[in-house]
Order: sequence, then C-alpha cells, then structure tokens
Amino acid sequence: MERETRVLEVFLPLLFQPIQPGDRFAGRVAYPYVGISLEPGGLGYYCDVARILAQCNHRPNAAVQSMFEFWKGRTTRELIRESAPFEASKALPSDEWMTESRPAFPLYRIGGIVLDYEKLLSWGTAGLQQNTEESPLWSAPVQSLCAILRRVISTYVDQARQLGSTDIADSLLAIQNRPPASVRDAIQLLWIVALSSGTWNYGRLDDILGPYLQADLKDGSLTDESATDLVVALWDLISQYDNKWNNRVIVGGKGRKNPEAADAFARIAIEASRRVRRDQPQLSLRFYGGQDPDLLRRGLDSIAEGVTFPILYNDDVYVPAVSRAFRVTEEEAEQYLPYGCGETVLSHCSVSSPNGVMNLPLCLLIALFGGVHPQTGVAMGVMGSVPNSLDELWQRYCLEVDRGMEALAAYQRHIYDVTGTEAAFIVASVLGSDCVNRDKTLLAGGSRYVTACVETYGNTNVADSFAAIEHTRVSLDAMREAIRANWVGSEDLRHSLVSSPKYGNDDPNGDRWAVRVHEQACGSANRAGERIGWDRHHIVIINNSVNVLFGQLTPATPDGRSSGDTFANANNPAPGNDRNGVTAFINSLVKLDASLHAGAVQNMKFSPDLVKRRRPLFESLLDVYFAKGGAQAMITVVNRADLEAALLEPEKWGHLMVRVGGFSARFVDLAPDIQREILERTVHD
Amino acid sequence: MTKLTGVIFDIQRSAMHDGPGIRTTVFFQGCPLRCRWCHNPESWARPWLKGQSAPKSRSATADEILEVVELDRAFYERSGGGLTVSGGEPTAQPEFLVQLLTEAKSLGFHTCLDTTGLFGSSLLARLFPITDVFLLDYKASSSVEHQELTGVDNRAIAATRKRLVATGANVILRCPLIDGANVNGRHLSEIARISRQVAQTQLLPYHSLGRHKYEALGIRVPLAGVPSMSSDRLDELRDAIVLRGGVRVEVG
Repeated sequence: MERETRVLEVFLPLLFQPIQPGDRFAGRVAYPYVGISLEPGGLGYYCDVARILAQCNHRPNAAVQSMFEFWKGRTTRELIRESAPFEASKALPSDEWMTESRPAFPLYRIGGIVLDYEKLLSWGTAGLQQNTEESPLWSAPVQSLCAILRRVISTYVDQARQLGSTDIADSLLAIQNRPPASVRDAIQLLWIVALSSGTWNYGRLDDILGPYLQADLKDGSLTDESATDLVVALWDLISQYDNKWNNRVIVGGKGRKNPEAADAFARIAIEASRRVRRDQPQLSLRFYGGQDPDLLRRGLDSIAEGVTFPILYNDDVYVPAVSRAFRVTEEEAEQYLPYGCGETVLSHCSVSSPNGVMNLPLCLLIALFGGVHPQTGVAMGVMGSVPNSLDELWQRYCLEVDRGMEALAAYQRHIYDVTGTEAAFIVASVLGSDCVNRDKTLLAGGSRYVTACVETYGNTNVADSFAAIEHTRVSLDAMREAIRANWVGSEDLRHSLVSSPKYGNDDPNGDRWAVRVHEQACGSANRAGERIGWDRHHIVIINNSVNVLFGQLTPATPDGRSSGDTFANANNPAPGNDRNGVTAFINSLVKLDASLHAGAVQNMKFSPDLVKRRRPLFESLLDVYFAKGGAQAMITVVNRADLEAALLEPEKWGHLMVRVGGFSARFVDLAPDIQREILERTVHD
Repeated sequence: MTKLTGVIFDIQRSAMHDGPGIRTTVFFQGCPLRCRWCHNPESWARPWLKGQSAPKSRSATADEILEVVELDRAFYERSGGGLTVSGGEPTAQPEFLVQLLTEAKSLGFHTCLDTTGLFGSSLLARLFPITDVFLLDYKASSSVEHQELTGVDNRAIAATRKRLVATGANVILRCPLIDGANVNGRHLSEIARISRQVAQTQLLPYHSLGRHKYEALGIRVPLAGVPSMSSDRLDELRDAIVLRGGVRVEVG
C-alpha cells in the first residue's frame, strides 16, 4: 500500500490536465506513460511502451532505455502472463486477439467498477478520512490520498482564478474539505474522484445528484435551463475523457432512494444528451411499469431524433434476470448497472470485468476439423478424429467451448489474484461498499461479489451453421472440403446452406439452434466458474465491432458465410438474414433467456418514417418486445439512403450517429468494413 | 365445415401500411383486373382457370394461414392491428375468403379486406359481418377511363362502394395516383366527394419498383417512362383534394 500511495503522489498530479477556456468544471486528464490504473492506462502497474516509443520517434534515449529495463517483467500484465497456470496458458497461448485466429484470448483490465458516490458526496474528503481513521489498513493511505486530492484541487483553484473562472474556483474551494452542498459542487467532487480512481462508468447519477439538483431548483440558485447547461458541461468532459465503449451514465429504474428528485435529474440528462449529440456519455435509461412514463417518452423523443441515446433497459425483466444470474436477492439486483458495451455489475459492491474474448464460430470449425485450425492446420483444440454426424459435431463443439471457458475462468482468477497482490486500488476500494468494513482491498477479499464474464462473438453464426447442416443433411466431409476451399466449387451447397432456416425469423428450425447455442455457452461459462469456486462467471453477448474483426480472422462457416465475412452483431440475426419482418425478429430475440448471462445487447434499426410519422406503431413494437421479455434495446433511427449518402459525401454527414453494437459512433468515423456491416443490417420500416 | 384450400402467393408479417396497426397480410393469387400501374403482375394469373399458371403461388388452408397470423397476436392487440387479406383480388376465391375471415373472426382477430370491389351483392352480404375494415380501391372516375386503365368497367365496383357506404361499413378508400394516367381534375373532385362518405382516404403514390417483375414475366411494361411520384407531388395532390372539399385525406 505504501508503494501505491507513493506512486499516486506522483501519478495523480501528472494525470490531471489544465482547465481549458470554456470548461465549467475542473477535470481533464491525460494518462501518464507509466502508472497505476484499473483499465484506462493499463491493468495495475503499467508502462505504455508503444506510446512512449511513438513519442520519441522510436529512438529512446538512455534514460528511457533504462526505464524500459526497470519495468521489464515488473508490469502487472507481464507478471500475470509469466505466472499463469499451466493449463490455462496452454489453452490461451497468445494475447494477440486483434491479429491472430484463435478460439479464445485473455484480456487485461478491470472494467466494471462503479464507485459509491452517495457515500463520497455525503462525506466529502474529510468524512472519508474520519470514517477510515479506525482502520489499521486504510487510515494511512486514505490520509495520503486526501492530501493528494487537496493538492490537485489547490492547483486547479489557482488555474481557475487565472482563467477568471470564479465559479470553478468557488466549487473547488467548497469541496476541498467539506461535503458538497450544491449540485455544481457535487458534480465537481464526483468528477475529480472518478478520474482519480481509474473507473469510467458512473452509475445512477440521477439518484446521486437528484437531491442536490432539487434543492438548487427549489431555492432558486438554478433553473432548469442553467442546470441543463451544467449537465451539458459534464457531458462535454466525459466526452473529452473519451472512451465510447464505457462512460456509462444510468438514469431511471427500480430501487432509487430519491425517485422524484432522480426523475428531475433524468429529464435534464436526456435533454443534455439530445443537445450535445455526441457518442458519449452512453446515457442509459432504466424503466419499469410503475415509473413516470414521461421519462421513457422523452427518451423515445430523443431516439427519434437520431441521437441513439438513451439505451433502454427494462427493469421488469432485467431485475429478476440479474437476481437469477448473479444469485442475489431482487432488492440487491435492483442496484444492477450496465457498464461498458452492455455488461452488468452490481453497483459498488461487486467487481466485474470481461476478461476474455471467445470466437465461437472458430470453436465450431476447430471441432469440425478434429481439433485443428482449418486453414493453418495448427492444433488448437481438443484433438481427436473428425466428427461425422451432427450429434458428434455438437458434442465436439461443446468440448471446445468448455475448454475455452475453463481456461478463461482460471486465467481470470489469476488476473484478479496477481493484480490484487500488486495493487490495492485505494480510491476504488475505499469507495466500494465493503473494503473498509472488511479491512481488505478490492481484489483481496474486500469486494462483496467477485464476478467476471467472457465476451462471446458469432453466437448467431454458430446457431445458423447447425441449423443449416441439419436442414441440408450435408455430409461433414463435403462440408470440410467446401470450407477449406471457401465455397469455390461448392456454390450449390453454399446456396442451400444460405437458404436454410436462420435465427431471427421466428422460425422454430432456426431459433431452436439459437436457444441451444445460447444456453450451452451460458451454462459452459457458469460451470467453468464453479470449477474454480466462483458462482458468478458468465458470458456477455455484446458487441464492439469485434464481430467484424473476428469475422476477418475466421474461415468460412457452415451457415454459408464466406471466409473473412463479418459475424452477426451480438444477439442479432446475421446481417440481412431477418427477412420475415420486425415482429418475427422480435419474437426470435425474446427466445434467448436473459437470466443466464451478464448482459446481451440488441441493436435495432428503424426508419425515421416509422418512428416519427407512425410513432404509435413504433411504440407498439417496443411495448410488445418489452412485454414479451425483451430486456434491453439500443435503437438507431436512420434511413438506408442517408447511410449511403454518407458513404459518398462524408463531409456532409458528420451528424449521423449510429449504434455500432455496445457503443455509438459518428457513422463517417467508422472503418469501411464496419460501415458496410451497419449498412447491411435490416432497417425496420 | 369443409376445410377449403386457397391459392396464395405470400404471407407478409409486420405489415404497417395495410390497415390500422401492425398486421399480417395474406396475398391471394389471382386478379380479374389488369391495372396498368400494378406492381404485383405475378398475382394476376388464376391457376384454377384453364391455361393459367402461377409458379410462385402455393395452396394453403385457413388453419395454415391463421397459424402464422397467430404468431403476432400480441402486436395486433397492442397496436389495433390484425389480419389483412389482399391480393391479387381476394374475392376471386370467394368461398375460401369467407372461410378464412370467418375463422379469423372466431379467433378474435381484427380483419381487413383489401379489394378492388369487383364482386356482387350476395358476397358482400356474407363479407359484411366478418370484415372489420374494407380497404377499397378507387382507381378512376369515368367508366371509359376505368376500362382503359384496369381492363374492366367500373359499374360493379361503384355499386359495391355505394352499398358499403349505405350500410355504414368501415371503409378506407385507397387511391393510387399516377400522373399521366388517372390524375385529372374530375378524379380529384370525385375523391374529395367520396372522402366525405368514408372513414379515411389514403393516397398511394405510383412507384416504378414493379418494372423488373414485368420484364421477368415477359410482359411489356405498361407505364414505361413514368417515374415514381415524389412526396412533394403527392402532397400537392392531397392539398388539391382538400381544396375540393376532401376530408380525412392522408398520404399513404
């Protein structure tokens, strides 16, 4: 802990960057080249060699060389890899998931922590010290941390004064020791501490900031308009922090302590997102039967304008699903938070992270080819004779998935163990629910729930592959030959595979396999967790354009997909395969049980004509989707014609926002292959 | 009841332009009209007549169709939608049509019949209790024009319309508008007049998307050179109809 405190003394002042003219709050950051982080800089103690080399034009001087020497073998990531358990290492020999074609890779990060901001705001830094002074473990580090934070704040006060930003200076002075009394001060303290912690998902800001906002509105120190300006200013800084895969803000939902005040903040938050029209923050609206319908209505208005936010979460389905998946009470489950691209964590009492990626279609191919990669012939699976029937193939596929899941679970535990030994993550620990009471650090017994998840990709392609093999009764020898040749000479076979039943059309022959693949992957992750003593190890079916990347690295698959083609996006049908209308698409989606995993994302694309001119129909579709068990929806409102126009004249279409998967982006900023994948998705109109 | 078999060429789910709400539309094979703007020429042939074939059609029982319709019941209930029978001309298979609509009603589905109106009063009497909304085409105002543009004169069709209006049926008038074919002052005035007698009037712009189907069927494209109608032009025509006294007129 002493080491970490001393690192923070240097690290935090370097992390924080000057206030820029026009800022309404202090708090910009640039991650130092070396330091300690949960995820943004690297995992644990990191040394960002690539960035340093780029900075010195790949000609490091002697001092830099000796720094590299010092860090060699000392970064947390290297320590993890070097000491990884043998079996897990064997199954996960590489970390190069962006360039190598393999079924599974570990990831190095702790991505799913949200701090207890309510505690922070009610205590202030002084309260934080008082409430930890009895603790043998935490007393000294918290004293040091608060001293560092006060120095950061003092520096910012000087800057604010120089810039003439008295409102910023006043807020900073107000929170230097005391708890905040206004929403402005509350945002300022929250923001500085969030940045100090290395977390970048913020939880239920409506419930946390609502009471401050309500008091300010009541006493006249703010109006709706000036409050919206403040939230817009916070959104600007979140956007500057720039991680479009995270930066989640949650509003609405069950289990809020101050629902009325929270609703007031939520309305302003939706309006702020509508105004800034950026890809961040990822504003997410939770709703349920008993909530003021005005919030959802405003959310849909914003979506109809093409904003892509808020992302919608149906608590009537999600809360029971989280309760079942995470084995917690419904009351605890009410404090679920979507983070990142769509994973779930329990607010400030659980650690969670997606620490592995799995390429399910490649698992299928390796099973089909008896344990070897179909293109390279490299052994990378469970070796054995090649399967010759559908049943045998299914058994072999399950073995491949189990092998990957078991390796990833073991590796994940190892990541937590090594990282927990290396780093206490002081800010995240003391602002979690249990570390102080337990006198333990976050990853060494301090967190109430330790959970983890594996990102699976191509689930739909695997399901469609099995459905197509079943439907066409193709011999697996012929299948292998066709895949090796990437369909050359097997065009007729490919045609019949492509025209076989596909998931997404409410066709039992397609959807049955989607359910089977889904349940197998979910169950496999659970069992792999249990083997290492975890009862909360899940898959997540999210998307962050890895469906495109993994597609590029994967040979042809039995659903008729060609080598290199994109995978389906998350839980969705493969692009263009949902040909039976939006009602059928929705009926298929809700067949996948939401209570078996730690998050799945559903992308839906609707035409502006439907959403604006025929709004009651659009709302009917969503209502039925949610009533039938739809847990989540990310909606893009866009014309195909607009997307095509944007490809031709990107300079005119900078405003066009689309939901890629687990994140939003300006369409014109996306890589051509991702643009193409989005274009190919069905627009419902 | 004897289970009849009908000939259909498609079942389309999530239909949002074929009557109120979200619907499932069943397209019946066969049509006695030959509208020059028809974008479904493959629906014309009546394979039960000698010398006609419809390779893309298939036979189906009412039960088979209603099994598909059932899948989206929740969507109909929420949106006020249901089953739409379209074509082709559904009344070209009268007994099967009556059986399908009767069974649909007994299962509690809202029903729409999309029809040209070319059928007699006895069939209408049978359809009346099992059809919630009639989507009734209105294509040309003069008999001569009607004959020229659709291949049949409009006497029986006008009689059906008058009977529907007189019995107080729920009618949505559907008016395809094609510049250079049926758009003229008299027709717009007639649409305006009739609009006052029906629940709603929808203006349907001509689109040339069906052209390739004619080519595929080896039929000469009847309106070659006529472009799809722009939404501005359609708004203009709607305004003209409203100026002539039209009410509840919407662009479709």
